[in-house]
Formats: sequence, C-alpha cells, structure tokens
Amino acid sequence: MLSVFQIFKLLIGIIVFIFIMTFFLDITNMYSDIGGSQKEYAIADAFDKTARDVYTSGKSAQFSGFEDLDVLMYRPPALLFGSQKTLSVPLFMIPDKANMTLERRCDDYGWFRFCWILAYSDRGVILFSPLENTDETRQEMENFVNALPDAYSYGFCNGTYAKVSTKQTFIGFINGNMAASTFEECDIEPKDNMRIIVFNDSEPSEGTIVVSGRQAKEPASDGAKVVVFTNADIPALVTGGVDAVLYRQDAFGSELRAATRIMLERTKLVSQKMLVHNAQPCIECATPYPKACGWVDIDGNQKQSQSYNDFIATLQSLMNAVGNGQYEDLLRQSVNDYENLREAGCEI
Amino acid sequence: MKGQTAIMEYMIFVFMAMVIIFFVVALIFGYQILQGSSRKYSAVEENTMFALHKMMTTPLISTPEYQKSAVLEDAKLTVLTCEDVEQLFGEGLWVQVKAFYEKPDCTGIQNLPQRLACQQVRNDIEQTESRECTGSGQNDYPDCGTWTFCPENRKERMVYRSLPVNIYRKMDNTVMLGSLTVGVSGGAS
Repeated sequence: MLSVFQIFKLLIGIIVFIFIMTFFLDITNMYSDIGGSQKEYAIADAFDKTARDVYTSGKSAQFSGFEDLDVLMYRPPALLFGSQKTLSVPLFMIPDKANMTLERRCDDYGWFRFCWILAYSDRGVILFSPLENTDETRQEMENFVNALPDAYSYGFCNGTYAKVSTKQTFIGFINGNMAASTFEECDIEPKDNMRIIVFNDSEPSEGTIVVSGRQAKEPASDGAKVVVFTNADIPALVTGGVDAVLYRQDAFGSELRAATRIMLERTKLVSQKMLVHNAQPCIECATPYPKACGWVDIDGNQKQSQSYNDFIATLQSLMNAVGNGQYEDLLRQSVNDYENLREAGCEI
Repeated sequence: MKGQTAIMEYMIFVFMAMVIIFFVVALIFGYQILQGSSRKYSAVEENTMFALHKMMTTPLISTPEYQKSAVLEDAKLTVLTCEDVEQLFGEGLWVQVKAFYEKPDCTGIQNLPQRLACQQVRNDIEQTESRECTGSGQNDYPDCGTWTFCPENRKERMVYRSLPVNIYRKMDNTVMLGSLTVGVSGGAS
C-alpha cells in the first residue's frame, strides 16, 4: 500500500513535471519562431547591405540568400518575406530564389545623376506579345530589350506558344523576320519569374502589362492602373509594373528637387563670389577662371556671366516644374547650360 | 516528525530544481538580449558607414568630374542645409566637414619679428580653418573651412565615424585635404 507521503510525492512530481514540460514547450515554440524570423530578417538585411555596397561602390555583386526564404515578393521599396523590410536604395528586380546579380545603373545629366540598382537572375523570362506589329512597336521592343539585362531570356508569346532565346538572337529576330510575322493574343499563364508585355491598346489581363505608345497599363481591382513612362523607366516597368514606375519617378523627382535647389543656390553663390574674387585686389588679377565667368570692369561695374545667368534661370524654372512632374525639357535645357559653362571654362 | 522532515527535504529539492531551471532560462534570455543589442549596434554602425560612403560619392555635394575620388565641393557644402542632409542621407544624422589648410611651420625661425609674422599667418589660417561656412557663415565663403549640419545637441548618444576626404575649393580651382565626420543616433534605423 502507498503511504500518504508517497502519494504526496507522486502528486507533486506530476504537477512539477507538467509545469516544466509546459514551460519548455513554450520556450521551444518561441525560439523556433524567433529563430525563423531572425534568419529571414538576417537574409533581408544582408540583401539590403549588398544593395548599399553596390550603390556606393558601383561594383556589381552576387547575392544568394533568398533560397532559404519560404515567401519572397518585392513591392518597391519593400521586400516581403512573411514580414517586410524597406530597402535603403532604389532597387528594381524580379525576385528569384536563384543566385542574383546586383548592378548599379545611373541616369547621368552632367550636373545631376540618379542611381539605382537592378537585381536579376538568369531565370528571368520576358515575353512580348506584339499584337500591333508596326515599325514603332519593333523599335519600342528593341528599347525594352536593350534596357534589360543580358542574362534574361527573351521571346514572343503567340497564343499558347512561346519560344525564348538570348538577347542578341532576339534583337536579331526583331530586326529581321519579325516584320513578316503575325501574332495571336497571348494565352499563357505567367510564372513568377516571367513578365508578359503586350503591345496594343487593349485592356490588360491578369499578369500582363499593356504598352501603347508611352503609356503602360496593368489590371487593378478598380479597372486599370495607368502610367506614362520614359526609356529610363523601362527596367522598373518590366520588373515591377506600374507601381514600380511610380516609385521610381517619385524617387527621381524627390532627388532631382533636392539637387536642383542645391545647384541653384550654389550657382548663385559661385557666380556672385566670382565677381568679387576677380575684382580684388586688382582688376586683372590672377584667377583660375576666364573673364567669361564674370568680372568687374575698370569702372567697377559687375559683369555677370551670361552662361551663369542662363543656367540659374533654367534651374529656377526647373525647381518649379519638378513639383508638377513636367520637367523633361527643362532638365535637358539645364544639361546644355551646364555644358556651356564647362566649355567656357567656368566649371570643371 | 520523520514524515515532516522528509516532506521538507522534498520541498527544498523541488525548490532548488525550480531555481536551477529559472537560472538556465534567465541565461538563455540574457544571451538573446545581448545578441539583440549587438545587432542593433551593428545596424547603427552600418548606417553610419553607408551615410559616409553615400556622401563621398553622391554628385549632390561632390563635383561631377571627381565623383569617383571622394571630392566634396565647398560651394555645394556651403548651401547645403540640415533638411537636405536628412532627406538625402538619412534622418537623425549629424555631419561635419573640415578643411585642413596648409600652415607654415614657425618652430625653426630664430628671428623674432619673422617668427611673430609667421605665427600671425598661422593664427589667421587657423581662424579661417575653424570659421563656419554654413548658415549665416555663407557670407564668409570662401574664407572659411568648417561645415556643420544639424543641431549640436544631436551629438548625444551617437555613433561617429570619420574618413579623410578631398575638398574642391571652387573659387581657387584647387583640391585640399579634409575630413568628413558623420554621427548617427543609436535609435536611427
């Protein structure tokens, strides 16, 4: 027979056992959750760090951590992997669990430069559906292919048939036999690493981007999302659709606005100080800049450089135009004005 | 009496077992907390270095011709504001750029008037070097050599990193040596 003490020991033992087991199970669960999410965060952080390094150094790099993620999506600038991480630099990609190459690309405007990262794997597939097979379409397709990585495969979607090839072979076909070909509406279910670009004026269907002139459309819950794009937007459009283009244009506009303000104030300061600099302590004193950059004549009259005045006026107009998004012409004008200043020897 | 002693022994044994379990758990959590703060410090460190490298390479404050060699332009630095710094390089930053002027070495000069004149030149250069170019200091440009962005009180609890940079003096069309210091607050993401 069991004594009262033995029954007491048994009960206490059972209670302590249950308590300890519950406690350890809770901790194990918590640790597996924390460990999993910490690993995912570490991968996202490593990708962001690689992107930063490529952005500042300009040297391409490889990244191969995505294979360990269960979920992987990219809605610029957020990398989604169950949780999400906002990337530090403008980046566009078709996310892929395979080895990815990150390279920096810059849109150079002389006095202003906008850089971003293009990340890609060799499994990306771009299919074109040129329902309007005109000279303009073929030229536009070539623009698209030239703006995208060599590592992608390119091809046509013709009904349910698609055949892909390398970039060079595909460009050869665009400039060769394509003019004599006809294409049916694309009827292929796009895979994760595939993008389908349709050239005509139709309504976009799920998984396709419809391009008509300089306008791109994508299906949305309330009809279609539409954006006007330039050649510089093509990588963003193909990899991330309309939202990526809007993100790129926003990032570009924001940086351009800041750069214009800085350059405007700086040019005003330089052109003013250059007058004083050239005037003192003598009229014809040694100065590293030619008279065309501004000087004070023998009677003390200030002669402001026409080149500087033109650049300042253009930058002032550009400042106002950046706000409403209509700045393409003024940006081009500012590039010319800056080039004139360089030719005159006022800027290096 | 014997039964009571046995129960007491048993209770003490259970209590000791619970204390050991508690310490093991506390150690595990302590390790995690330490790892967390170490990761946070690494993130701040990386943010600081990123801000430094971005500043050295961006044409927004460098000269287009010298973009690859970390040359900051003095005129652009002079018109830069704290708002620009926060918008372009990240929030919660404190930034200082200092130009190092070439100064005469007066130690070997025996002749007193010459040494005093040399000292005077040296003092003038040192004053110019420490003169602030930003804000109201814009009027002193180009006779100034320090550019500071964002309020001083941000300097508390910040991680600082400095790198040598070249500074392009626009008005003289020359390049001089300088330093770029960036401070990132511990809480900045």
